Amino acid sequence: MRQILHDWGLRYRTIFTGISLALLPFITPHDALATNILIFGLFAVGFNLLFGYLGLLSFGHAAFFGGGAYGAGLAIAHLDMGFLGAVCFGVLLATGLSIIIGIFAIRSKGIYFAMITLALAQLVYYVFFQMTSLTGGENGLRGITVKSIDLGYYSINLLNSKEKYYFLFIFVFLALALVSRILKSPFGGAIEAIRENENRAVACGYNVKVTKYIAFCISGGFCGLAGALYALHISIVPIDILHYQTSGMVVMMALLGGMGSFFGPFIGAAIFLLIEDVVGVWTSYWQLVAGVVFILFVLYFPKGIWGSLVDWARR
Amino acid sequence: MTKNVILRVEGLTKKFGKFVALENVNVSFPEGQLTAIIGPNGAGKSTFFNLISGEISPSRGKIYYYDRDITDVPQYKFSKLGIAKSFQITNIFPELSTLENVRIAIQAMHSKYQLWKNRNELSSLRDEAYDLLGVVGLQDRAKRRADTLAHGEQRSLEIAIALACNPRLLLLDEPTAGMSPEETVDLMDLATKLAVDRTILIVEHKMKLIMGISHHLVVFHQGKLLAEGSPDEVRNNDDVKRVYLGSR
Amino acid sequence: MTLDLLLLQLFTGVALGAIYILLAVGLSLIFGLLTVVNFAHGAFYMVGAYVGVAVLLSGGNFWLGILAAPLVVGALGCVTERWLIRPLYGRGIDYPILLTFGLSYVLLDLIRMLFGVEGIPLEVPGSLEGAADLGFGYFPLYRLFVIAICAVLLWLLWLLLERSTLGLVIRAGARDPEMVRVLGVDVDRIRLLVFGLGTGVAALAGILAAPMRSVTPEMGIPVLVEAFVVTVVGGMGSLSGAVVAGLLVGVIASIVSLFYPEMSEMSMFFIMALVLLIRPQGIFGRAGFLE
Repeated sequence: MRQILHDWGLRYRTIFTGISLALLPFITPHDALATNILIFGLFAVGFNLLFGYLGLLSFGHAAFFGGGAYGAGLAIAHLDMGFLGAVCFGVLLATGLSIIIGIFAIRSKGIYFAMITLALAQLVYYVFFQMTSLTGGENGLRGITVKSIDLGYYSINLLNSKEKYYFLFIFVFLALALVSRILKSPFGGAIEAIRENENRAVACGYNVKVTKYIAFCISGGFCGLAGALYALHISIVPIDILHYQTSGMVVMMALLGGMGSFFGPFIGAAIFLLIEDVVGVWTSYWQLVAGVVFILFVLYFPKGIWGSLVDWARR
Repeated sequence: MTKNVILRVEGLTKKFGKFVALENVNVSFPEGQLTAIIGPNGAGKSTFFNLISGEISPSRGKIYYYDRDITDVPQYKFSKLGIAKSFQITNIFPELSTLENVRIAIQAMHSKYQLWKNRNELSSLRDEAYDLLGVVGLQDRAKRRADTLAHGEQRSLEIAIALACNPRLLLLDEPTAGMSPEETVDLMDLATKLAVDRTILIVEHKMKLIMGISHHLVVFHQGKLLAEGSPDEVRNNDDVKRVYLGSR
Repeated sequence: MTLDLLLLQLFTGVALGAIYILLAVGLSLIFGLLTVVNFAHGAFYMVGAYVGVAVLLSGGNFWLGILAAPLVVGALGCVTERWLIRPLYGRGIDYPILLTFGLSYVLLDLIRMLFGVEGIPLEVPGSLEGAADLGFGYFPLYRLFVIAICAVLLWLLWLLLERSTLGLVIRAGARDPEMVRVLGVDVDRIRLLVFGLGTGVAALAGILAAPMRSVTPEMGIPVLVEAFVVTVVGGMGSLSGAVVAGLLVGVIASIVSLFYPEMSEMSMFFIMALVLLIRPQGIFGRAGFLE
């Protein structure tokens, strides 16, 4: 019975996730929270490709999320592009950053990877910080509000939070379909084999370095998409989006939800954001709660909430 | 009919810091033969295997596969060349299913970077994997997670993964380690069957079995090649007798 | 641009480098023996500075603070290793990283709760105020003090590792923990001590740096990155690497700030990128622990 449920969940995971996300605004107290879960969930999905499925812990993914955000913001502010163009530009910038950072990071051995990605992403932070005329420096990039999307017969009013949510949902859903496709492909099989036993994967004939690099860039691209959507959601790009604290946040989301599972990242994003939102109402020390919860999960529930469930179904 | 030399090493030396694991080994292996590599523990047998499967690079010397110098070829290219090794310590993909373990190894020979197709719909790879599981007798375990298999079954899976790239040169590093007597006999039968259309090098300690199935023996001792020849020749070799009588 | 100015800046770089050395040494010690990358290193540095603040607020003086910071934080480190990190051994290299990162979150908010979110100034003690005439210019006495303390600590560390039995056990344990365990050594206890030592050194860096930078709960955040960069340049697990890299990074940052002040913070990253391209294991990397 459990096996059937598991197989069925695997086959229709995109649909299942899509339906859950479509219903989300009706469950959350306010739409902003739902939109954040949507966007940060995608960020965590992109990150999870590398962390949960391949087994590489990067602490520098803020560079891609932030790169996507700044790319979209710059496209609107300086290049006068529309929404779609801005999103594409954001993804391109993020992928470009991952191509460059990947060259340095993939050369390093396992345990140094986290350190080196953190340091390289922080370099990106400092560079964007300094380029004040372009990026707004410390104050962030402002004035990138997109009020509506004109589709001819219908105009999507992005100032209406529900309309905005479902518009962004389309992008996220398409991205998820793509991620699922990639995970089910031969390439997806290769990255799982590398996670399970890197030495054996090499012996079988997989060029592990190249595979990791490709996965790194793909991961960067999806995180960039999430960043671009985020910039358009909050209409500014704060400089801290590139800081390693953002990288740390997505790491926490991925673990809390469940690494190596498809739906887990959204659960993780929801947990983290709920702690910030709910605990934040009572006390400004929500990070203490988040940190303690995270530590408890690392010690006792390393597979995260959804990951533990999936694991139980597989046995 | 003269056979091709499938593997030849010249002056092969490997040092780990000051420790000399292998010193100036010269040996060649003709195609189609089943050769057993024997010697006391620490003689350099595993180091030799690691060198010729590309896992480590020699400190000095050369390795030739047919006529090609493969000394500096990176490890991941070895399976395409047709050289595969089954590991001494079980080295499988634990959370993948038994079938997937073999399928992913076969996939490495075909489509590594394909991002679009569904890999489970590449039926030819699945069928091939299923057949290979049949060769080692694991077909009824196909869907189970590899880390739930019994030890002897995992050793068999080891060999199936190695066979996945259809190697012309198959290296078996103590394949029967930890197996029951029945499993060991089955494996030795399998090795003999496989030796019909490929070259096999096998490291083993179980003398009686090895003597029975090998065409040729190579004896290592303290990192050097001590003797080689047919089982009878090696059995009657004075150096070999001295080394083994002393270390028993 | 006079030679005097350059020399003065060089000394400033050495003082900066001293802090980097202390950070990298702590990180390398922990990594060398435990194979753990301590993502809470910046947080422990920050807590060290706050121990100093606490000592001063409760009537003590700076000298007491310098003694207390490494001891208190070292003890905190021991507790951390025992209850938070030890359960993770055998699970995989990423888990201690995840845990220590979570710990940094917790420590940050705890300090905010105890001391508030505003910065607290930590004054240079009276006896170290002023500047010394070095011949080519006046150099702050306090910075000379920092350089001196760093040198003393390195010497003590060298004595411990090269000349004591404990040091021998630590070095052996870094090379081959199994063997050392078989020989009857309590490897768990050694790990505990080394983690505490590493965090203690980070705390010392924190309190030494406190009068030069401001004491805020967030002061450890950029420091973590700096510690990583220096360690990557010098070679993870190598103490001589930490020393050389710390000095190199500190001096270069200092010299660069003379010509292009905006680039001085970033200069260390370019050094790191260069090292990663040419010699990814770091200047002294892979030479073994403590060589």
